[in-house]
Amino acid sequence: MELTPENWVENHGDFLFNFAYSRVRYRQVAEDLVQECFLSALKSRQHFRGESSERTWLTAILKRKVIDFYRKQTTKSDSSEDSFSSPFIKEGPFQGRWLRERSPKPWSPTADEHLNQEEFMGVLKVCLDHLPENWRAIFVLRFIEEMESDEICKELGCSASNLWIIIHRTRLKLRECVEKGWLK
Amino acid sequence: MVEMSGMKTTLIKGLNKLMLTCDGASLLMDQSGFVKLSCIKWTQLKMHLMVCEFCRDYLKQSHIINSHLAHMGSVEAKNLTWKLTEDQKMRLAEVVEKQLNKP
Repeated sequence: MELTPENWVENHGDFLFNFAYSRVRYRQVAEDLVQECFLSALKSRQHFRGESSERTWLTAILKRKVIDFYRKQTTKSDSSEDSFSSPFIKEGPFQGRWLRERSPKPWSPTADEHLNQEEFMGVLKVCLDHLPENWRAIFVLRFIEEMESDEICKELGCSASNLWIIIHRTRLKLRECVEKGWLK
Repeated sequence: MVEMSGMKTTLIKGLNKLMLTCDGASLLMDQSGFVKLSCIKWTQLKMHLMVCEFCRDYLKQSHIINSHLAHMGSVEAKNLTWKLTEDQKMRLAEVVEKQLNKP
């Protein structure tokens, strides 16, 4: 199988853009990543052995670019640590229990009856988009890319305990956001 | 009366050491889908879930969010939800062409 770089944009542009956008959620960043992917692919095209399809090969390169982007995001210092507001009581004999006003409320049974219920999916997407960059990065790698936790730690250079804390905080934030949007 | 209140506080603190807090239980629930919990942690979590209605709701809601996330990933990948604009396509094509024509 031979590569046809002159047709890459036409043949794979939308597919690769969709792949990148669904992970980074910014049009400009997704476009930049696709561009970087094409440039890297052109530079290393002599290594293409034709064992996989052109699209599979390009997607693998793009996936690396997305992970590199995530790595930059997670190493950037941001205020997500400070801005996390725990839904648990912070001190006293009831430390670690849910704050009553922020405790989970029962959801409508329809939330789990209709998996592709558009309204619920819409709320979930908005909540994902509002997560801090570095939290969403870890979340996407774990839940969309289905990467193992040790693999994520290796890629992003974080400790396992730190990874679990971020996943836990992300889930708490996501749950609360979905609940607010869903029960509205 | 003061002594009773003090005893109650000590008792609650003691129980907190034995029992998981909601914070600890929700962390274990988040981990349990991906790593195998030790027998002790698993038992602690089950005990906590027996007495805590909020955490039972948290567990149910986590399952709902998980299944929707998995579904969302596959739908977005399959459906080409987001596409390049014509301008973006032109820009990318130019970059590729420029690189191809480099001596």
